[in-house]
Amino acid sequence: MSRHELECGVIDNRAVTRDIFLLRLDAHELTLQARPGQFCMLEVGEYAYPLLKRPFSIHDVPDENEIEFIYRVAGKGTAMLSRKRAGDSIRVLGPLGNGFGWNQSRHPVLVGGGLGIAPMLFLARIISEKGLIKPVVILGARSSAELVSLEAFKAIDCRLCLATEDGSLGQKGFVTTLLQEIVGDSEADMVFSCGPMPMLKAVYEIAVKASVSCEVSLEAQMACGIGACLGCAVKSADRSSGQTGYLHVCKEGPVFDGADVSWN
Amino acid sequence: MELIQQPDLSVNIAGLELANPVLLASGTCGYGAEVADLVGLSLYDSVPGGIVVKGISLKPRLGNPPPRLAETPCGLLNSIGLENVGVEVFLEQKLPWLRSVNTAVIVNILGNSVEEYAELASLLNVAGVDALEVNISCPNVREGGVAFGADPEMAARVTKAVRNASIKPVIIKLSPNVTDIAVIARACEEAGADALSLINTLLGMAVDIKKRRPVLANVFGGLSGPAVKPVALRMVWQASRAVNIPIIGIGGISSWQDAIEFFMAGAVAVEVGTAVMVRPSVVQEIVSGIGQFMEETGAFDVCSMRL
Ligand SMILES: Cc1cc2nc3c(=O)[nH]c(=O)nc-3n(C[C@H](O)[C@H](O)[C@H](O)COP(=O)(O)OP(=O)(O)OC[C@H]3O[C@@H](n4cnc5c(N)ncnc54)[C@H](O)[C@@H]3O)c2cc1C
Ligand SMILES: Cc1cc2nc3c(=O)[nH]c(=O)nc-3n(C[C@H](O)[C@H](O)[C@H](O)COP(=O)(O)O)c2cc1C
Ligand code: FES
Repeated sequence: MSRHELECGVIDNRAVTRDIFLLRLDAHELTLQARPGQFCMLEVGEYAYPLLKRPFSIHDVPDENEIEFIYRVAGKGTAMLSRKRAGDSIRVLGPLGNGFGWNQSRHPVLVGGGLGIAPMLFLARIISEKGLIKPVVILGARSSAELVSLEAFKAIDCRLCLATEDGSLGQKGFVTTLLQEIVGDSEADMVFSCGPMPMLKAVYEIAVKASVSCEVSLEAQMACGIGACLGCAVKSADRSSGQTGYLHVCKEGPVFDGADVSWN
Repeated sequence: MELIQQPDLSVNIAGLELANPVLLASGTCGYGAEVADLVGLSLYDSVPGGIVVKGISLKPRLGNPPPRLAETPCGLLNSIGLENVGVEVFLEQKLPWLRSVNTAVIVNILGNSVEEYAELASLLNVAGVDALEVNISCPNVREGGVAFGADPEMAARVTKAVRNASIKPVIIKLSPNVTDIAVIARACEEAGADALSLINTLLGMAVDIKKRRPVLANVFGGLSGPAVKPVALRMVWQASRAVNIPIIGIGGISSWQDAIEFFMAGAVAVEVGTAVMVRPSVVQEIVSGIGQFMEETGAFDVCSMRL
């Protein structure tokens, strides 16, 4: 475990759609440690407003100096973040969390929906560059504009499958339809997924039916991001004792085996 | 040549020796290992003077259902529900690591009955535990908690039971959710408390107007962070003038200036909670800042800053 709390310079922070931004930070202290599926806590405010740092998945580590995040302006914190400019600095705590168990898979399928696309770029890059495996990458969003970072995905050696709800790019519909076809007629042995809860549930169910194991990246409201406050609890699947417990997203996750998560 | 006296940051609270007066508050630093690298807990020179571990009960507790956190202006509402590993696991798995670290270890305890508090206290009469902090105030759990801290008689009974069962310094942690903090403080002092710490969180709530329901699954939660500092300061002032035992100030401390305010109001040490979660490096800043301020103002120890 090697994590840091440090000030990072903003290289660039620009809108890629009306409300989605790509943030590039100069953070060479973090890049060597970072694993796909991990996240960082970013200080978005000033003078204790807003008080808490915000969690964001590591979107990409294109080289040893730079770390990238992709985020949607969802409230006051992300709105303040969107106003940072090149030359400003942002306090970062990271890298945090466990990351995906990609090296246990020989035929990985990556599924990202909406801003669940965020961790998939770094994951695809590492699987391809370090694992020397060509992963299947299924990405879905409402429209082609929200299929962010497509050029970066195309530059990675992977099989890219796209879906949009409005049919503006790729197949019209959801990532789950594509996933169904792919696990049906390929050697897929593991699914790695990130996206909204209903999507993750559907992805997990498809994987279970196909007897393929499935890792999902979850979200929860966080305060510390390092396992100290126990605030980021989500319900776990019933244990053998019959008692339901809690998983802590920031420390035991954010990536979980789908079988450990309570889906109802 | 003029002899410049170095300020002495060490404090002794009823036998509890602290290298400096800045402690990590219960519930915001886990059992220490979670934050060690970021706040500077180590085998040699640790940055904080001590750590108060997450509240420990006799049996493990699962805690409240999520959502457990809600951010408010300059504050944080939490309803963790005292999730903890229980005293047995604490002694077997958490204490050995804490023993190896060079800082004071204070164990925060909570129970559902006077007997439970006493039993916990006697189980913790072991090497490596430097003091007990008795949580009679947590607002999160429906049973216990509120009842002990809000009633001077119950507070005194818990204090007496723990004092009798323990060989360690006993710090009673007071709840701010009371009408008169001085009355509770005096009751605890008379019952044998060695020191008091305050405040625990202020009971509050938040509503999600889109979903038309309370944000926290537990409806109510405890408010902490900069928003509570003025209330905490006022209560430390009141308590320190009501009793003759040492007071540890807690509530919203986020800078060395905040800590100095608490010393001036009557505290001999402080605990930092929410601010450590927001920015772990703040602990080092607070410790250094206190030292520098004392040097500049010629204060020879922490107590001498009291107004
Ligand atoms: C592990 C993890 C990774 C994430 N990765 C990304 C990412 O790559 N891109 C991205 O756009 N978003 C991501 N999110 C969600 C992101 O953290 C929230 O959108 C953001 O915190 C909202 O802050 P705000 O102040 O703009 O919103 P507000 O609504 O003003 O926030 C109010 C409070 O709710 C919290 N909150 C709101 N939505 C969420 C959420 N979905 N998850 C957790 N806390 C939330 C905020 O932290 C804040 O404390 C991630 C969340 C987690 C837990
Ligand atoms: C997430 C969280 C968990 C807490 N858990 C405990 C606990 O287990 N026992 C306790 O006595 N106080 C607990 N507290 C209260 C703090 O120790 C402290 O009294 C309070 O937060 C005020 O200080 P602060 O504003 O510096 O955080 C908790 C506070 C927070 C924010
Ligand atoms: S956010 Fe504090 S434990 Fe996960």
